Amino acid sequence: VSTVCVTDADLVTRARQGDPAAFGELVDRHRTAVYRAALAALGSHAEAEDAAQDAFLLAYRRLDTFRGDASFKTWLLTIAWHQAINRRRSLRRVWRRMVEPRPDEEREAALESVADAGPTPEAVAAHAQLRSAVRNAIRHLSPALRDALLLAQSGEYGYDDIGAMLNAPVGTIKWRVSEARRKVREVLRKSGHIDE
Amino acid sequence: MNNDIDRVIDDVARELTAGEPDGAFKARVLARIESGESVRRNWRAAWIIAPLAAAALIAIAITWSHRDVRPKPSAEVGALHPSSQTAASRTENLEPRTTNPESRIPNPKSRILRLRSPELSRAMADPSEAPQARRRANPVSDVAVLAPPSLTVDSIALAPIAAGDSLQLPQLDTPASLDIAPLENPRTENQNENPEP
Repeated sequence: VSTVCVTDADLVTRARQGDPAAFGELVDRHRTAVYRAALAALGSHAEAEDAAQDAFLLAYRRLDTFRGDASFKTWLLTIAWHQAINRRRSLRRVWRRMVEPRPDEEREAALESVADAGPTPEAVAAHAQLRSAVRNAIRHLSPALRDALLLAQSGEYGYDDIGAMLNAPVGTIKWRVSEARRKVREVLRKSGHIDE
Repeated sequence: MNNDIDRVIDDVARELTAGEPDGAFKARVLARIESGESVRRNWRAAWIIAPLAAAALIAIAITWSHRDVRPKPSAEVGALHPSSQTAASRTENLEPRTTNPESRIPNPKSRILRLRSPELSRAMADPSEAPQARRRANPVSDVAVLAPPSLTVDSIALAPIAAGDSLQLPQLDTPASLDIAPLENPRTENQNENPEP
């Protein structure tokens, strides 16, 4: 049976009636959004995978509590975000919690930046350094600003979704994104990566 | 310039959240649902929390045992430390003292006896029984056990001085009268020396 035209609400109804395929379809539809939210919070692909699985499992168990006030996606993302934040709060992750790219990730990012940058070696090096400095600056933002910036830039969520996840008004989310950019620029200016 | 930088910031932020679960993700989720598995507990966090909890318990136990050794504020402590006396006893101290000199002299022995229970006082007489008796008398405070035996000191009250004979001093001789010549009137002298023109 094709589920292309079936809405999330219909799939939820069928899943509540015990149709695992319907819930499987919901997983397929929203796995990337859930995964990226977890990745924004945890900064680790392995942790994000675990948190995303836990989020779907929890959502399945709580399907009866979904009232349809918000969209299923928003409801699911809220669960996923809470799962991810609970993981982030654990003591061990305090030390390596935010976007700690492994050396191969760093190298990959540098290679990408080489491809994007200008042709001269100086420009390539400067661009790579700038991106590395931006990455560091984002890592050192406060969690509130960093979460808003990463979720907003992931391309998966509207400001309404982010507001629901972070439990803050849309205006606040927009301000946080703007403030996060301003702080990153300030760090870059102080470190001499951009001119005054 | 700011726009260029913002574009770089947004690119890097997007890069930090790039990625998606592999194709087997759905299968893994459904398998967990079918197996009835609950949400995984964070065992790695438990490895950290458990030793911390154990350390906290040990700290509490040590604190508790130290609290038992510490003497409780009691009459004994209050008597030994004037600063911890009760308001009533302080009021007593303010009362006018008697003029009887003996009452002002503290008797160390009687003071110690007042501080200790009768059982403890008996133990003082027999030092071999002292520790056990002290514990029986005051099972809470082990500090009392460590107290040295009291010293028997004779009272330093002085016996009243007997009234002796009256001090009979010989009567002094009456001194002879001194004859002093009257002084001349100074005013008269001045008049004579400086006669007015």
